[in-house]
Amino acid sequence: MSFNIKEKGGGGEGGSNINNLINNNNNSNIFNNTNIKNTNNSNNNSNNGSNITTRVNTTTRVNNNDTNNNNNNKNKNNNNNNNNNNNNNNNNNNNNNNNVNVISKQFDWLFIGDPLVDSLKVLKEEKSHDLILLEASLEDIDSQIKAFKEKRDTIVKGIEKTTLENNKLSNEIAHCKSTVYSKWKSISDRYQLNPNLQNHTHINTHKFINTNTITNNTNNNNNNNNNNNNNNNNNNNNNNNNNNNNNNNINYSNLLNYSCNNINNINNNNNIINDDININDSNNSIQNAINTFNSINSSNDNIYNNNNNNNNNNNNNNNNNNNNNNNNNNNNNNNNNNNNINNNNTNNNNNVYSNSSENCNNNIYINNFNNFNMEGDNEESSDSDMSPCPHHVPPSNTFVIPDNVNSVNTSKIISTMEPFSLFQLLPLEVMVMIFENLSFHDVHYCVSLVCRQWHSYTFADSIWKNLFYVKWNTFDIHHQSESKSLKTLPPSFWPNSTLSSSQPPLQQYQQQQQLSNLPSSIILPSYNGLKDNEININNNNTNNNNNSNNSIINNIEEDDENINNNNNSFNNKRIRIDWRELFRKRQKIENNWNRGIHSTIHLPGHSDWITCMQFDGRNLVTGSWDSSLKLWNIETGECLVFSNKDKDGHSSGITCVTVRGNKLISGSSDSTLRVWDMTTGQCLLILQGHNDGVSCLCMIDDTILASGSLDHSINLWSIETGQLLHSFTNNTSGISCLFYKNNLLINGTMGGALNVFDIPSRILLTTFHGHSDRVTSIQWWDGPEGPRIISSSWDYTLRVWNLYTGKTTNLLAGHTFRVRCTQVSGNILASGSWDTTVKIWDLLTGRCIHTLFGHSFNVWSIQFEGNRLVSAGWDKKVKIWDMTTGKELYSLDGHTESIICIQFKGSKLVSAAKEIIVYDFDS
Amino acid sequence: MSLVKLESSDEKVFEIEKEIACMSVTIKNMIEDIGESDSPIPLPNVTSTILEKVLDYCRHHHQHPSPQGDDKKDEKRLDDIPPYDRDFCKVDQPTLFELILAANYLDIKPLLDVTCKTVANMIRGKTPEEIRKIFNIKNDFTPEEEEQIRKENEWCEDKGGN
Repeated sequence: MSFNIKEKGGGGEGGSNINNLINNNNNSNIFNNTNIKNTNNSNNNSNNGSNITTRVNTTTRVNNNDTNNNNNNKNKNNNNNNNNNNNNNNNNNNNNNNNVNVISKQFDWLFIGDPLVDSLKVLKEEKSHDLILLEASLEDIDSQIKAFKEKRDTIVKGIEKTTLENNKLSNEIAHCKSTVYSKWKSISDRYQLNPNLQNHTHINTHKFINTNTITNNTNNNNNNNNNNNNNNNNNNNNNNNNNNNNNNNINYSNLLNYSCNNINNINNNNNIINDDININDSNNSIQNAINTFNSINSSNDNIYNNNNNNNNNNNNNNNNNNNNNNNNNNNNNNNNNNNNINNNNTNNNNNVYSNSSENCNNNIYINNFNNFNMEGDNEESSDSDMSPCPHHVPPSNTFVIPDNVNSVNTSKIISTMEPFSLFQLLPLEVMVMIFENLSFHDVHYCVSLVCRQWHSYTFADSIWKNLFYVKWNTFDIHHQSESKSLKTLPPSFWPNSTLSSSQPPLQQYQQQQQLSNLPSSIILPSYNGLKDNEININNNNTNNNNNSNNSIINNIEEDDENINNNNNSFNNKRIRIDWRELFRKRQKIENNWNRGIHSTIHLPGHSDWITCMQFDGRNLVTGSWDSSLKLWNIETGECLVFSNKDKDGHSSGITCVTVRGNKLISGSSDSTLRVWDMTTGQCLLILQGHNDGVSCLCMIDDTILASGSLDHSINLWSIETGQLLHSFTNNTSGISCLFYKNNLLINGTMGGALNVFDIPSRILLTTFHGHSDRVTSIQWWDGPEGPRIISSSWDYTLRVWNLYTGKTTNLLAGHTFRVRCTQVSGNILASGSWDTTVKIWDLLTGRCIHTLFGHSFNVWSIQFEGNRLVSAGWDKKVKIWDMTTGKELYSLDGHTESIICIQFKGSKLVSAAKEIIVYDFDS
Repeated sequence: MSLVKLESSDEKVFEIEKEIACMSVTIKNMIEDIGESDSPIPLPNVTSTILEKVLDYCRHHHQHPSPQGDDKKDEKRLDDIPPYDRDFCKVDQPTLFELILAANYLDIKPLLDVTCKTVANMIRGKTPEEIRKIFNIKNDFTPEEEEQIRKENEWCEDKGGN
């Protein structure tokens, strides 16, 4: 306390001295002196104002030596600082600055180099920095904890939601399974599809048998009562039993015999009881028991005797029950006798016990028969029933058990329901309808291997008819007439594997043929083309009128007869078409076409180039520059010559031929046309009217022929009468080609123009101008915007014309030399040219898709065959191309001269130069 | 608009417009033969659940008649089932087969076509063993018979450019 008071007093003195300083600013020595005084006063309690220097040194020494003094000095310094601050507030700024500087210097002076203070400062800074870092980390961790809690809450909610959804779906699945199972069960019950249902029926029958058994027992009880009333047997009762047993034997003989055997066993055991009577006749109680068994024995005897008439007679003769039993004993076999002997050796009590036990076993045995599925349970229940009332056991058991049997078997039906196919429900036509939707691969390789029934269904004609159409886009069955006789189906394990389906009349397919633009060339009337009996009659008359002995003609007659027979059979009945076999044959031919598998037939041909031909798959007609006209049988190579220079035939080269019915029409450069009888080779008509060579022919209908000539005219003829019907003289240059369709006759000219004539009215409709040189071919295209005419020309171009406006809709340029020939298939056009190439065009866009390089000389003839193109040229080669890829598949060699014509029909391809080669791809 | 009553095999009666019901050729012939009357037409071969679905189908296709499709057949035939019909046929196997039987009995050609296509799509692209599993069909061929069929079916093995 006193110390503190001193400090305060020191401060007061300092203040007064500072006031002095203000008055004397220039004198620093005075200031220092003042400080020294203060120090001395506080430490030594004395004033020495005379020697300033000595006092300062003294103060320093004191501080160094005494720690307490140092502390006191610090406190004083602080007080000085505080005092200075207070004074500064009241004094000028200059004074303030000086004071601060002085204090700072004083401060530095005191603590410079002090290691303790410096180390403590460093530690403080480090700890402060650590504290900041830790606080920052804490904040980060707090924020992370918050974020994780939020995520956890989200995940927990997601888990709860997903769990609910999962449970819901599980319930839905269970419910769906239950529903589907119920539907299967319902169908099974309604349509009697489950195999175990037969067992159920059997069980019902079994139940009926039990009823009969119950009836027998009831009758026996009645007899028993009668016997109790009367000691003598009653013949009427015996007769009744006979009737009942006989009925049972008739209805269920086997089962009833089984029952009778059991009853016989009972008789045998009861005989043992009778032996006891004979041997041990004594105790009344025993006799009562024996009487009970006697009554049962009596009823059983009746049943036994009813099965044996002799015993029954014995029974009638004897009135004493015991005597009856004795007689029965005589009938027992050796085993029973042995049993009797054994039983004689036992005492009374044992006999009674063993008899009861045996009776129980017998009852169980009967119950086992009645209730074979419930053997264990029956045994227990029968034992319990036996104890109180043995003689009532059989009836009660038989009434109870059938219910148990039914319930148990019902459970078995449910638990053992075997899987069954719902296809059993479907009728045949529906299953075939399902299979019609499938592809060839599915039907042929998968469906036919599933099971026997499905295999037999895959022979249905409607399936294969549909597959035929899907694959070849036609119901054209022209392959059939040229193919070999249809094979029988392969040897089969299944006698009924081929289904007989109702086929529509073959005429519908004729309509299909017309719609699908079949080749119209028919040399002889095949039965596909036959439409009525008149042609048939005409053929027959022609055959009857024939008197020639020519062997070739005879062969042709045989062919005619075969065809006529086919026609007759067709007219008389429907012909079932085996579409599967047709598919198979056509597939085989297609495979052979793709691989070039074929056989060849060489025919000698003509002495000059063949200019034209017609081929129906069996018979071939060729016309040549050597003015000869020939009919060939390509199977035998035989030849019928219609015309040559030696006969009164054409006097110069033949340029065109066509066939209609049994008539052959040829045009020649001698300006005439001739009509020939196919079967006799006789020339029927000579059509004269043209002034120059005939260049082209075209049939309008069965009786009207159009011919074009170099004299610029087109003539219409009747091939029945040879009369000239009309002559078109509008063209200004020679006719180069003719085309007829839809009552329109279109001709091309040497000068490049095309004309369109309407046949019914015989007027010129339109003229197409555009080509600058000869028109070489005309085609018809049913485009999406209406019918179009396509023409090829020597001016290197092809044009697509609008039939009604007469304008060019597309100009197809690309060939580098004359275009010779064209073919159209769908929206695809093929053109063969003298520039040795074949070009494939897309008619929808007018763009050239492929250019087929391969021939080394003029391409002279092309034809489509399915998805392939056949081309022939002056380089003596026939080439086969793939239409979709534009690649050459292979070449057919063999010709020694330039090829002029090719034509294919069915599986056969004919190419003609001077010689003729027939390639057959059905081999 | 006149109504006709149809009674299912479990004796439930459905009322529907006559021209919708006449999409079924069988019902149309019955109406023409019997003449119009208030008594329901019995359909003993169709249950109520199936009849309800069939009538839903007829109602929808009466309100939204499908455009006359091209009769030409092609390989893509199985893929041209309209969306409504595709959803309609997404049912369990027993229901699908009962729909086929009902369409066949009632002679509703569009429904029979679409259900047969649905079953064909279940068969399409499957091996014989897979087909047996899907439809619970027993393989009653002996191994010798199965081998015999494979040999007989080899006439298309060399497919060439197919």
